[in-house]
Amino acid sequence: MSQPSIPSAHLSRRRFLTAAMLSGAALAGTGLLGGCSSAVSASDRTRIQLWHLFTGGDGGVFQAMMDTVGQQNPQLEIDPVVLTWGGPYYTKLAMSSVGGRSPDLAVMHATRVIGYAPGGLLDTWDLDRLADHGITPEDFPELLWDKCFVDGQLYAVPLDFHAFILFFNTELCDQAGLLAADGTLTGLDSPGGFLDAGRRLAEVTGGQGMSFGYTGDGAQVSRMFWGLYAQTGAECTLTPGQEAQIDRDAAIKVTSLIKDMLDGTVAEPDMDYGGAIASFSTGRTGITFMGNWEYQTFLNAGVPLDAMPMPNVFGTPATFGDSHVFVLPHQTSVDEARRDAAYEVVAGMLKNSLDWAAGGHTPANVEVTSSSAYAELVPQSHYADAIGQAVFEPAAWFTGSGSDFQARVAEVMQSCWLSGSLTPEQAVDGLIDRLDRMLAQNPPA
Amino acid sequence: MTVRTAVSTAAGTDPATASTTRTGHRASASRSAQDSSRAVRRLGSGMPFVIPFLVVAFLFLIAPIVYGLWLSFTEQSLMGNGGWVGPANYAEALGDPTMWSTLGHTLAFTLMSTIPLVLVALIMALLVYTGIPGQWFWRLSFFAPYLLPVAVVVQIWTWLFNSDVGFINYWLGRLGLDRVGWLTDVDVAMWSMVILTVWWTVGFNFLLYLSSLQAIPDLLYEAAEVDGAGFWRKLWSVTLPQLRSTTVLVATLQVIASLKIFDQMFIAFAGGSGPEGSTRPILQYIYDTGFTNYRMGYASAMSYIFFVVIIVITVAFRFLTRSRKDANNER
Repeated sequence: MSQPSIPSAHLSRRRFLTAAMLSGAALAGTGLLGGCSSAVSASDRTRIQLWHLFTGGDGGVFQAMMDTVGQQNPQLEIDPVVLTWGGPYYTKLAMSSVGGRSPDLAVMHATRVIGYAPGGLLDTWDLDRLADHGITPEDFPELLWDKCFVDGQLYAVPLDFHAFILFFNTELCDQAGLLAADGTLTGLDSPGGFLDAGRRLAEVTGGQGMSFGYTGDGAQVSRMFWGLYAQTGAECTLTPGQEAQIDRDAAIKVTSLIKDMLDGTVAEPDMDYGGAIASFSTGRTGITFMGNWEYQTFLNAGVPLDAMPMPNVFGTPATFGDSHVFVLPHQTSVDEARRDAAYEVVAGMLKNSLDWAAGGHTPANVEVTSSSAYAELVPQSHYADAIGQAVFEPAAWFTGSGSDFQARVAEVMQSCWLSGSLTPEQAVDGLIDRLDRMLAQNPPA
Repeated sequence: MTVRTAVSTAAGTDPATASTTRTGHRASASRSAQDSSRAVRRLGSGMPFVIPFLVVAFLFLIAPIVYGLWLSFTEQSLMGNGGWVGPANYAEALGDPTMWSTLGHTLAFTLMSTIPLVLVALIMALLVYTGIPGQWFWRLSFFAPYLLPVAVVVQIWTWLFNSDVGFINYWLGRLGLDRVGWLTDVDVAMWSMVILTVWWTVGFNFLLYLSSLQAIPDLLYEAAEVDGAGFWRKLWSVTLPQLRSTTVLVATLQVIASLKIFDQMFIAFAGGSGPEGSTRPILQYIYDTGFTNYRMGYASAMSYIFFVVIIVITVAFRFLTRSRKDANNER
């Protein structure tokens, strides 16, 4: 009674706080209810998780394609997870498959499928079910389609072929007299012509003619080496438990040519990936060898630009590359609705793959590459041939894009090209030794 | 609650013990009984605080160590077709030239980085301690790189090191010097990793040195001055001997940290192995074997070999840096 004001003040403050909290909760409640109402409609949609490895420009294009597929299929919801490509991506994918709770759909390289399929890390695609969604073998070039089979089972559906191609600076090449009347690059289809073109370009630039970034980069070494190796007409067959079947003389011929190229005039011998991009982007070299995915980089740099498949130096047209493929990582219990959605998403992505070409890749869908809209894309259509002469890394469980083996091959090849501590013969023997060593091991699957 | 009970008991017994001290034997007997029960109670009350640590240590340290040891005797892959192979993995590792060369890279890096990391830190600390103006600025700029994540540090330096458009080669060119293939030359690449690492982590050692410099009593310097010692004599006969234990600590920490080198090379060469494989440390080879080629058993065996190497080096290092005082104490 003596202090009525204080408790009442307390009460009023408390009451105020309570009221504030209640109204806050009420607001939150309406928010929740609002969320509920949209959640209801979302629950009608099938949500599938898709792991991919596209970042940078590619990532943006891929996201736009997923958005398009989402709009075309309102009943679908794609939940993408982007991871950096390379060894770590494959480790994560393998671990999630081992655990049996993998994503519904994933993107990987065709060359890695052979290491994954026998280990039970991938589920197979059903051809009939693909046909139900409008995808048939006729939609793909044979070279790519065959690459997706392991032991007669289809484990992958190709999205594209991404090639190791030649970019050239049209102005510099014109000054060097290397362009034909139709603007194509000529005269590079023999070892002598190839080196001579580099020297003529070097006179124009006052430095080097070509750039090839490969130091410390196993993938770049493999791209150059195996592509040119296939041009000699030789093959390389790797069977676990046996010695590598490889044409030593052809391999030496290729190794020597690259060594001759890296003479400081035709091309700088110690260049890494970033260095090659920088020197070509700034017009200090007129030709560079790069994956087609760098097209946007050069375009943004403002270089007067064109591109072509790998010049046919040794007589057999061949362009090295790999293919991004869609796979079904192994799941212990398959949700049929989500699996069906995965088929639908793949079908949608393939039908919309003209967009994918904008990033520089050659779409796998023949219908897209034979369309007039694709023919208008320059320079993409100038290297569309690459898909018909596609060459992949020799298939084995330990080879392929982002494999540790590429780094091991790079070690010996760089010892020949970079410091010259090995002769081409010794480098090739080192390569064969590494191949045999790996083939002698137990495949992990 | 337990803590509070223990405290109140301790406080409560005080007057009791005080009152019984006069009665001799009985008092001391009761006190020792009380002491032991108090110790037990204290131990019991401490246990709940230790349990989380024990659980974490068991789950993430002890169990993996035991599991890894078991793995090293199997041909386990990530896909799991493991079978017992006994010491075959160890035999393979000992005959694997790549393991030896990558181990060599790791040891070379340790040697190349530890010496500058200790010396540069010491010099920086001495500079700051002897009182160049703007102390806060030097402290900040010497320590700041240490706060950056490794990915940022490596990214910055790969730009600086770029042989074609990099900042460093630009200035070498302006000075009329030849370009250096910082990341592309076999003989230079490892040094580039050392430079980057020193820049990144030397701040921590600098801080350790600085704090122990500040702990040297002024008396010693005053006495030395009275005896006529100049700057160099004081440095040689007072400062450095006083810093001895810090130097041992810094060097030991550094040797262990450098042996574990992995991140810098892995990021700088995008998971590759550097020019001609010259920078791949053994930890990366173990990682590549286990996680890229999925040979878990073999990777585990190499991990254990490396584990033994680390222990041998650390123990040997401890022996080499043992001071006379330590040796006396041990006798």
